[in-house]
Amino acid sequence: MVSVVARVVTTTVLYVGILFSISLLLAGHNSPGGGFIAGAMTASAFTLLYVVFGREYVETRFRIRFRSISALGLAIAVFFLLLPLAFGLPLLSSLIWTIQLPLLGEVKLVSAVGFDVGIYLAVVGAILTIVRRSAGGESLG
Amino acid sequence: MSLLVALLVALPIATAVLTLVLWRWPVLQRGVAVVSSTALTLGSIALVLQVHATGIQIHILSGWPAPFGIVLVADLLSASLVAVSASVFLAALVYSLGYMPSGTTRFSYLPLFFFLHMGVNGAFLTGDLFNLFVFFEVMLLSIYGLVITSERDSLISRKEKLEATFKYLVLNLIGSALMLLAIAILYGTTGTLNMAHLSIRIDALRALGATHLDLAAFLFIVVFGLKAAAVPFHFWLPDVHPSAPTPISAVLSGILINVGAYGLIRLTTLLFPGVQVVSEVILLVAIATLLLGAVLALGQLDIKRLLAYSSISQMGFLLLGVGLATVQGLAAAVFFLINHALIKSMLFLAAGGIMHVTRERSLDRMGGLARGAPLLALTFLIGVLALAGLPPVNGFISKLLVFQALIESGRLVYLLLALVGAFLGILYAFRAWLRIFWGRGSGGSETSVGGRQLAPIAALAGLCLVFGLLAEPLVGLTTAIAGQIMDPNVYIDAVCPLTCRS
Repeated sequence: MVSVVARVVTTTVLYVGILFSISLLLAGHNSPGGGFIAGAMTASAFTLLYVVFGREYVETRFRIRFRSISALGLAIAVFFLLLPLAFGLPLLSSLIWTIQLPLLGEVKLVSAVGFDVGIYLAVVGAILTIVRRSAGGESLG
Repeated sequence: MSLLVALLVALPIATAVLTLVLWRWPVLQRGVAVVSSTALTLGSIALVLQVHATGIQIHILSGWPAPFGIVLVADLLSASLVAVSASVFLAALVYSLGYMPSGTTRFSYLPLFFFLHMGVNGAFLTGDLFNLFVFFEVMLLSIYGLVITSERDSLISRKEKLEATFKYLVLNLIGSALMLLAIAILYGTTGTLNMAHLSIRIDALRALGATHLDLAAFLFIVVFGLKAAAVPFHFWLPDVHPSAPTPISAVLSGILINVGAYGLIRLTTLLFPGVQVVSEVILLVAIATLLLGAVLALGQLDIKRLLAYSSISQMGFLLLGVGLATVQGLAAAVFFLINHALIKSMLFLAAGGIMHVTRERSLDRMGGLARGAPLLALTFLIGVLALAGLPPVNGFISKLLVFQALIESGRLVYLLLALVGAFLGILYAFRAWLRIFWGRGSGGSETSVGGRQLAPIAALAGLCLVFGLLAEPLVGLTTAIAGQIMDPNVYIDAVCPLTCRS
């Protein structure tokens, strides 16, 4: 039986952890952060959920196909890996578009973010596939 | 800036992801795999021609020029090795499609196969030492998954596969740690990871008496020696290569150990050129590898283990050429590298066919297969002749070149020992052929081996014959390769002529 403290802390950490990981994901490239560590953080938040509440409890509430998420992530990453070639630039170059948005003003769109999002999804999917597999059929709660 | 170089790394990873996404449509998935593998083979041959015609090709990743960013560099050596690897991968892929159960190819096998392809191409093409480490890890992670894949003729138990993979995993973790340490020593002292830049700075620092850099050189000998299965780091190979599914055995023995040899060639020609002690150590390791591998191969009864031990022995011949550090020696080593890839992958695929027909792994329980399986007998004979180093196949030329290089450098003791090894090679190679194909036995029929399995074997055997009978163009190419890599300045000038020299 898992203590009440663990349950309460987990639900809080889940939201904070995911929000922080998304901020890391978007901050990456120019400051510390990036797709990989953001993915690892999100995955660890979910892992905590699995450990504390057990696989059955979690999967009766939501069911995500982590394998498909990691495949999708890889596909996105490879798309942004190859994209610069279409513009005559070397592999992995970051394409930068500056656009004007109402209210927000000048916004820079950078293709490296797309690549990082792909890595993020691939990492989340891969880690959670492993966690689910090693959790087996038994409940950990 | 060459697009082709970039595509040779990008296309395998794109294919890996496509095959992962297309798992619901197996026919489409297999089609994509074959088309992409064919394109990679043709593309890499085009790259060899391009490099031969116009010089070293580079691709500056993400637009950061060397030595600040990572560059992909295709000189003649890299391009030729990529071309040979791509051909072997294509043969192994076609074989897999006729051999591996479709359940396994759909989910993990094909994506991992192309991730491995990307790792191999990347390792050959990268011009950055740390990037080389990353590609090594990509290869290793794919191999772990591929070795334990279950195959159709389950003559090897899952327990054996897991044991072999575990051994490989532990050893390579140690190897990776040592490689990281070696890279750290070099980076800490020189402040760069670009191989051309490293070459200049190591040279300058050694001239000033920075002998601790030699420690890094020896660590690299251990790391690459582990990959190339050089004695005393050979013991993992006879467990891992035979445990893998047949097409993966072919790729492992044909290409993966070449990556280690490639590392040693770069070490002795680019990073530490002309360092006598490094070459001498490699020569000693080479002769031990050559003899021990041959002696151990003599006693094997398991067909795939015998081939695995012969790979160790053949690696010894190759490393002799590397250790000589002369143009002839390196030309012989590169010729050996290219031809051993073809010979050994063909032999492993043929061994898979033999195991499929006889349902046996042990030579003791085989025999008389020449009647039931004439095509397998012929192709296996070509492979056996090549292993033994007899004319008219490519293995003869490669051993002849090694012996010639030894004579020209005046290394007569090494020559005598190598001749002993070559003699043992004749014994173990023909022992296998006689036991399998001659004598009495249940035989079996070749018709149960499909065309998709026989075609790649026949194609590779054909190449072995062609390179044996018409060796002159290939010898010309390998001599050009040796000439190009013997002078590090050619590489340096192509990668970063201005920024690195300032």
